[in-house]
Amino acid sequence: MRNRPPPPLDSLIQAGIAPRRARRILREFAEHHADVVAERLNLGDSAHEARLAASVRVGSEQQLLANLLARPELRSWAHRQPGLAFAIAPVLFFALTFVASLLAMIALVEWRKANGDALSAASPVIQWISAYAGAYLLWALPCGVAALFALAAARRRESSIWPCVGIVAVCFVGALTNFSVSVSPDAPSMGAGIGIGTDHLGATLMRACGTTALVLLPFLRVRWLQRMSLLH
Amino acid sequence: MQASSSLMSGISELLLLRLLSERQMYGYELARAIRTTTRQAISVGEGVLYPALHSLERRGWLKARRCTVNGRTRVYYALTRAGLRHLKKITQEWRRISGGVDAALLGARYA
Repeated sequence: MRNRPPPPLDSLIQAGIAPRRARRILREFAEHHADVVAERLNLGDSAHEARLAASVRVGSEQQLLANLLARPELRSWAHRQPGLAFAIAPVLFFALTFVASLLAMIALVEWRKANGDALSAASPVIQWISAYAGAYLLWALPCGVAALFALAAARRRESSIWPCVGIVAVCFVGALTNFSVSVSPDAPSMGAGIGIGTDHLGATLMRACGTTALVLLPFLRVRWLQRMSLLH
Repeated sequence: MQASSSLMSGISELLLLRLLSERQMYGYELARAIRTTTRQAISVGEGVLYPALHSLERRGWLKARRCTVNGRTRVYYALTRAGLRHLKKITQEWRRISGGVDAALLGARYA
């Protein structure tokens, strides 16, 4: 059972005020309080009187909270549109970074070709792409994007539903992507795409479940720890 | 008599924008400036100041900048161009309304 109110920072963040803004407001409020105390001390008040006068003039943190929560314009768009921010935006961001990564690899290969490198299977660029690009595009990128948005949701103390939907969506879309490098000695090539085939259904589902578990379980653990820290 | 909160909110917005059109200030300075320039007639609760400042900043009428002065970090607020345009608009509105109220108080009668 909750036996004390949550700290002001948590209350502000839970109400949808962006964490950075919430921290700044509380810092400014504390600095203002300190300024009023200093002013009263200069006027000859004792430390106790100065603190009391400052509390009367500036008000309490609870009053500040009430005033802030009465202003809906201070709430972030992610709080107002959580489905868009934590379920749809991660999928779009994943698609964007996937395409951007492919374009970067193509640009790297073209740049090496323009500088006179004969791109064979033994070429360091092709070897590097062949060794790491698959793991990056098919595993690290969907996990990274899903984790990034889940982390943002956890920082903002948002409800877990939409971030969970986002994690599952990104990991399943990520599992539908494919990437391959052909290192034939004469003409190495690479290909990428998105789609589902019955011949690879098991592997696709395994990859989707694997990446989902990699992100979802730590996210749920973080949310559980956050909830516990508020309760105790 | 207690002024309605929406009226006071509009007045504090006008005062904050007007004071910040002269120079950038931080919260404590603004609270003092409001008390001084209104000859203590209007006392914006100092705890109400920050929600109002952040609301004005979020609407793009103010910009905030962190500065260290005498070893203390302050958040200074300054008016943006959009804020200046908004100030001109609400100043005109305020003059129209206060002019109308003044006329009524001075005894304007129906013809």
